[in-house]
Amino acid sequence: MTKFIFFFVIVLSLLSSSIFASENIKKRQDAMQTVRNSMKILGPMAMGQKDFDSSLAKNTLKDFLIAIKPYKTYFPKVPSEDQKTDASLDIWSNKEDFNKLINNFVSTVELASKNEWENTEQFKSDFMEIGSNCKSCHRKYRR
Amino acid sequence: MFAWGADNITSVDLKNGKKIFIVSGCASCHSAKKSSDWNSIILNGGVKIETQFGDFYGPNISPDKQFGIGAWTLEQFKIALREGKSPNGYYYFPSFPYNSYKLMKEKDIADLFYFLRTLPPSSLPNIQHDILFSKFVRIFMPLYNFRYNFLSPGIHTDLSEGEYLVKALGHCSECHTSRDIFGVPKFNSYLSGGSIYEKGKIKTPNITPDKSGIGNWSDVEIVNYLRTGFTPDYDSSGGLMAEVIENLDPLNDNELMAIAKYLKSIDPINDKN
Repeated sequence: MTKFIFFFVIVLSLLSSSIFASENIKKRQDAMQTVRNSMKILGPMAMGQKDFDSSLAKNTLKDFLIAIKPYKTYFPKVPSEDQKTDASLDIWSNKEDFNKLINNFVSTVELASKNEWENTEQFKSDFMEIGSNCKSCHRKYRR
Repeated sequence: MFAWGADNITSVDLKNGKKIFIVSGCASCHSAKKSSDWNSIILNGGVKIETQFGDFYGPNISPDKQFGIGAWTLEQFKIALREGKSPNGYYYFPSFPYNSYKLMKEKDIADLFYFLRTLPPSSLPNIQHDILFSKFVRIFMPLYNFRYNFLSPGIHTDLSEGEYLVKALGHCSECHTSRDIFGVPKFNSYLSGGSIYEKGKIKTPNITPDKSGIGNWSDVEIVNYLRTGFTPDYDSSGGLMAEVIENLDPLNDNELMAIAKYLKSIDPINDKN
């Protein structure tokens, strides 16, 4: 009986850690999907492919911000190497640097969301700054 | 060997050498300490390239005479790039993309060679590759080269601008074409996606004009991606491709458009993976 309980506890803990890892990956992917959706709205406006709509840009940045604020908490202490994910293992070996980049990213989006743009050019500057944050993090930590 | 024609070198253009250096992505493998100051970057090697065949480390190619390539002649440099052979007579592993670089123009090789001479030397010794029976496998590299040349659709040097940038300098095929068990590219799957890096865990995308590749991208969208790293859906590139995009920075819009036109002109291949 003791052996059975021991076996049961082991299986349960393995199962729960796997579910926990999958949940984190799902949260990360959902957050990044929101970012992509937001960029699809913001990008064409910044690039002059669509008319600039200040209130649409503001609302989109709000959703963007909500999605990325908790982003760094979706990375558990230990990576789950068996799971399919775009996250590079370097995130866990350089956690401090990774968190710094995410903090910068969040601050940039937060600042942009508070701006009052008078024209597309001003908005484009904020958009490019956000894009530059995406790139610097993806370069190091996206596979 | 190949006839490279009237590429006689009469002068050295260091500005062009720098451009070739950046676009060819030399620093990606030969500089562990990433820097965007291309005039003072130290090419001391040490960058780990994880593949299905083992872990390779980019060697020191700084102008140090003992530890780098400072004692090489231009001729030796050319042989390294075109034949994958070191001045000591041993053959390189194809983690060094000499099969792409062999398409480089004589003038570009010379300009690159002299540009490398302007960079700071480093006395950091090379890290040995971590692959099984490394010395033994190296002996068989001429067989690999024979297989490569036998299967390859042939080499021609009258490449269009876009083809030259994709095949020679950009060496796109090295990552975007799958390989057989010997590591030779499957030429009938040209640019339809590969999985060599991080021990096969990373699948590089299909960049042929099929719908499973970049068939739905316009020329302008390709140019925009190569310039900014943003796909038409505003997803941002990551990992090695983000580095490649930074390396394309010296190219002007016409050159990026030439790449786009070439990619849209190749055979579309459906990526079944």
